[in-house]
Amino acid sequence: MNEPRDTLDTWLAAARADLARETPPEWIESALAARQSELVLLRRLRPSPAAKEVGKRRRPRPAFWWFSVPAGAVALLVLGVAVLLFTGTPSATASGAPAFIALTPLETIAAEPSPVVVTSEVPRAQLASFGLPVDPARADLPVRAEFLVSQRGTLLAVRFSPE
Amino acid sequence: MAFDPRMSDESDAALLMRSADGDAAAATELYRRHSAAVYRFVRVATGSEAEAADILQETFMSVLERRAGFDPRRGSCTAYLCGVARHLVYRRFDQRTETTSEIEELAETTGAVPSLPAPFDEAERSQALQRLHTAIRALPPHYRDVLILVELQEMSYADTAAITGIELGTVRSRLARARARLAELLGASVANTDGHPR
Repeated sequence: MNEPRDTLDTWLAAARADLARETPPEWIESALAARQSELVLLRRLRPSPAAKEVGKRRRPRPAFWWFSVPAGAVALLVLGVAVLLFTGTPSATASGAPAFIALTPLETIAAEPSPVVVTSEVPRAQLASFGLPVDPARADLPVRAEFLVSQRGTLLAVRFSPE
Repeated sequence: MAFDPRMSDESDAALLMRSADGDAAAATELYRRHSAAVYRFVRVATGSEAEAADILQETFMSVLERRAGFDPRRGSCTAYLCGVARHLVYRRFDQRTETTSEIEELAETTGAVPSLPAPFDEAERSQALQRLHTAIRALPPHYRDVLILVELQEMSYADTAAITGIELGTVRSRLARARARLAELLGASVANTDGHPR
C-alpha cells in the first residue's frame, strides 16, 4: 500500500484530468442567446405610462414566449418583409397571413444569418406606434405579435395576427 | 479558461454590464469564458450531467439579468459565478446535508487509502474514479465544495473563500479535514466493493 497522502493525491490528479475533459452541453449557449433576445423585446415593449393606466383597468395576462428557428419559416418571413416593402402597405400576403412590417432596412434583414421568430402578446395600444389602427373599445385587450429578431437581439420586423 | 480566438480583452465587469443591457454578444462571450469552470464544479457536486446543465443555465440566466452583484475586489468572475451556482445547488439539494450520519458510519470502517488502478486498466480505473466521485459527494457540503474547488478545479484559496463565504484560514482547515475524510471514505468504499482493503 502506498503512502496515504501520495495515494490520495494520485486519485485526485486522475479525477482532475478526467474533469478537465468535461464541457457543458452546447444547447445552453443557444438558450441563453434566445433569453437575451427575449429580454431585449420585453424592455422595448414595456408599456408607456398611458398603457399602464389602461392596464390598471384590466390586468394583462403574462406574456408567453416560445421560440422556433425553422430555417424554411425564417426564409418565408424575410420574403414577407420584401413583399411588404415592395407593396408599401402592411396588407395581407397572398397566403392570407398579415405581412411583416420592416423595422430595419431590408439589407440589414437580408444580411442577418440566422434570425429567430419570437411570438408574444403585446398591448393593443402598441399597434398605434406602428401606424396601425386601434379600436379604442378593445384597446385594453392584448394582440398576438410575431417578431423577427437578429442573433444580437435587434428587432428586424414585426407582424400582428388578424382578429 | 481555455484560449478562444473569438474572445476579446474586455473585462468581465464590463461584459456583465453590457449583458444586463441586453447585449447578446457580451453574454455569449461571458458564457464562453466561464461556463466550463462553473459546469465542472456543479457536475462534481451533483454527480449528474442533466442537473449540472440545468444549474449552469439557471446561473447564467439569473446573473445576466442583474446589473449589480459582481464585485471584482471580492474575487474573480469565475468565483462569483461558482458562488451563484453553489447557492442553486444548495437550494435544489438541501436534503443532501442529511447524509452526514451515513458518512460517519462509513468513515469508521477503515482509514486505509487504496491504490488507484493503473491507467492501462481503463475499466477498473474508471470504476475507481466513480467511487472517488461518490465519496466526494458523500462529504458534508462545506467540506465537499472546498475540496472540489481547490483540488479538482485548482482554484486559489482566495477564490474558494469568496465562493464559499469563509475566511482563508477556514478554507485551509476545511481542506485538510475534507482530504482526511475523503481518504477514509475511499478506503471504506473499496473495502466494501472488494470485501477487503487493498
